[in-house]
Amino acid sequence: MLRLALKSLSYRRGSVGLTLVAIALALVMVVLGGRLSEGVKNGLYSGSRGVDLVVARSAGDVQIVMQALYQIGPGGAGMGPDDQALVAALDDIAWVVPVALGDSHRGLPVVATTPAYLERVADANGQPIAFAAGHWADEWTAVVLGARAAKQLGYALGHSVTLSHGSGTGLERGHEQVLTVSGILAPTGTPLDNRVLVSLEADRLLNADPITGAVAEQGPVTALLVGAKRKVGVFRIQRDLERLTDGRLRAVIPGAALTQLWQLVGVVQAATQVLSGLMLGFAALTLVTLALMNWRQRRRECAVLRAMGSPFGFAVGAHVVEGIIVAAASIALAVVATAVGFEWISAWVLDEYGLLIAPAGGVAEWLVYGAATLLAVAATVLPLLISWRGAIASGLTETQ
Amino acid sequence: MTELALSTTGLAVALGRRHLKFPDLALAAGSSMLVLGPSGSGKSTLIQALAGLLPIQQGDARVAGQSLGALSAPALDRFRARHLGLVFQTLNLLPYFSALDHLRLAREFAGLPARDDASALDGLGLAADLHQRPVRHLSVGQQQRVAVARALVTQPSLVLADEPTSALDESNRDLVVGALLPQAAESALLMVSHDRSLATHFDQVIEL
Repeated sequence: MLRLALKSLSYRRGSVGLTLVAIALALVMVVLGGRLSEGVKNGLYSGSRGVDLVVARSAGDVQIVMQALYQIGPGGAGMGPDDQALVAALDDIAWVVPVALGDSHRGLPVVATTPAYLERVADANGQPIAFAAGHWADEWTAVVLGARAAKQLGYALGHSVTLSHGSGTGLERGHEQVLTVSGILAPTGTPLDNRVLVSLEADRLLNADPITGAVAEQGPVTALLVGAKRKVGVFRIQRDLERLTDGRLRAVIPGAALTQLWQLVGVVQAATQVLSGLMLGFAALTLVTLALMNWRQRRRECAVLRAMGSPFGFAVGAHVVEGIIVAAASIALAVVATAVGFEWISAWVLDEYGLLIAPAGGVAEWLVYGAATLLAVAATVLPLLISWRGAIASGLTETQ
Repeated sequence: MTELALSTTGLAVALGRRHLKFPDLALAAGSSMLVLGPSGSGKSTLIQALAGLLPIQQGDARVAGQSLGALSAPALDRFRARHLGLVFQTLNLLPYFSALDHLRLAREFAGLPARDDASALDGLGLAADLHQRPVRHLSVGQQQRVAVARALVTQPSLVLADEPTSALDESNRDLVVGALLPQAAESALLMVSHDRSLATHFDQVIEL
């Protein structure tokens, strides 16, 4: 039976190859689309671990969170020292970590903050952030690099880093500061891997008045990352802030904002899923078309087998084996293509947006592969079921 | 009394709108019969009905004492594999299978143990280097010899041949007929053809 199946497939390798590619392409669309979608979602959610609230000047919730945690999108107006003090004084506040954003170094976002930042946020698995080398030194000139940032920049401990205000292209040089790498983080699986962390003092010096050189005693920050004493306290913090600042400041729960974002992109996601389903349907149609194109030949083969006294079960078994072989080859091709595609796309997203797409997979993917196997088997058995009883005589006597 | 390899009584087969009636046949084991008739006379239909590939509408056909009409479809398939050997005009073979593959498969369907069948192919004049080659690479004459070998490998009770020589040249025709006729001595042979020159080789000749 296996011999018959293998030789039959080899004989029709042209159409079998087309079938294989059609199934593999459809599988890649469905699986890769689902994996990227889940991965982006997981990546976004993982970046907000450990932070109960993000406080910033009033803007959209999604905008506040994306800017404060992922450095995506335009920053809003900064929060002055009075606003920072007001937030820190609220009841239910356990801790506050300021972040100042807007600068970049060789394409990588610079985050000005305090060492407490690394104590409060977590990695993608909810574990504390760890250093692969060094530490956050006490000097204001200390720079800490994310794991990917260090690799991309080629910097090691002790390396001098020249930062200038703005995009750092050199075209709008304000004050420059020469800092020193004192620590390199272990991989976190969050956007932190692609960040350059500096002290708030360094940020104030970078943002000194370009004409007078005056340096603010306590500069504005883009946002405050806040931890609540109790989870239920976040709602009270939101209400108090709204009341005390007349809505000038806004406290956003990161998870809620991301859910809102996900609902916004849900339409796109649903459309992608429909497209993927259509691809799978197209592959099924291709399979059936190719099977029916081969019907005349398969009918003749069925006629020969029946004339030899082949049991129906043998013929079905041989066709099922053919279908399984085609499905297995298609799945193998799809798995490789999906892995390569995922690697390439996730690397691009990381470089472009600093967002790490966490790998996803699991039961849903295996269900898709199982469905593809059933599809392939059905497409090979269908012509047999049509041919077996009905065309036996004509299958033997028709001309080639 | 010698058991009949084949006997038919009032045999009739429906083919589309046509209703074909055939003369009663009686073929003893160890003998041969040639059924002659022009194109369209129902020769192929007769073979297919006797092979159990077409349903019998009326009458009875018995092969080695077994009534074909009494068998279920799966039982008929098994019976065909073990007791019947079929040779058709063309398109007998799976194009991607070798000669030896065909013989091996025929044994498997008949429930017979595997054996080295190279000698059977040698006896039909098929060179050894052709035994493992896919049959689509063989000439028509060579393919027909493989079909004959496959029909005979299970030592069937009855060999049914439907115009096995009409697509062959004279030398290949003689080879095929020469291979089939001795089979009659082992079991029985029924051949249909329009070629009257074959008549002298057969024990009985029937006209449709």
